[in-house]
Amino acid sequence: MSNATHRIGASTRITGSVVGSGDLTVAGAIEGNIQLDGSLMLEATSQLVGDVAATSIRLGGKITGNVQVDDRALLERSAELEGDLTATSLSIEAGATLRGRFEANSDPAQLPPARPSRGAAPDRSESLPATERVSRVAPKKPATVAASASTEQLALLSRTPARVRSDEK
Amino acid sequence: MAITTQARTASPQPSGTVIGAGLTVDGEIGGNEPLTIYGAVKGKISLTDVVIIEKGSVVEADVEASEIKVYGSVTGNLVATDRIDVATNARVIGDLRAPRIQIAEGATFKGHIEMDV
Repeated sequence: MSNATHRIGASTRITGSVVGSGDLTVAGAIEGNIQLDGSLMLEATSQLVGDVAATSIRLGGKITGNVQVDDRALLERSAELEGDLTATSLSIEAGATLRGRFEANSDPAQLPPARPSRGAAPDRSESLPATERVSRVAPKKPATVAASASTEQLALLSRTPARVRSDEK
Repeated sequence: MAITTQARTASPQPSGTVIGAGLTVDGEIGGNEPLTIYGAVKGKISLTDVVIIEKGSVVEADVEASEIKVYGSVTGNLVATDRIDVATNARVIGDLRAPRIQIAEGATFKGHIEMDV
């Protein structure tokens, strides 16, 4: 896997798919799917219409589409996500908007390698930003239960205008 | 040689777009900021700024820009409003159209050249 960094500038627009490895920062607009073996950072100016698969995501912009990350997702205060989100852990800053379902990765194969079962490994959620730590779901729980639990939890936790709609689909 | 040095110091520009090695864009790229490609682009590129196709990159696209610098491999037609530079060891299959065109010794080129008069 390459450690290349990629950047889509604020006045760039891509219509089509973006696939590959490395860390990608987007400040511009993409209409199409992103499939990335690496971390994805969407800045506040970014606009994305399409589905996203990445190792982790930090969202400050707007996504219309489903997001699936292996590791963790951070929705910054400027984030707007309209679509379903799958991640191992989720942080939402006050002001972020999520319209869709959140589902925790429950397949152990998708979890990051350093899990608490390895003894001294520190809980990764401790290193998350000081926002509401929403979901740290035990792998054995059924994913559907985890999803509804975490979205309710979300609604309770966020003393924010974040609109969270749970399981209306 | 002078061209190479110039491009190396000029890119990547922090405000521009950089498609690094390992990334493939399949579709259309538009915009008005510099674009530097180390990875792969298939489709179409249409910019009002500089496009730099770096060594190791693979571009299968028609490119429209103000200025196009090629150090890598391009299959497609290149149209620039200002100039096109094809550097040593670059490979271009396609037509070139620009007011000013430079093809360095050692470059591989197959296509037509049209210069606006």
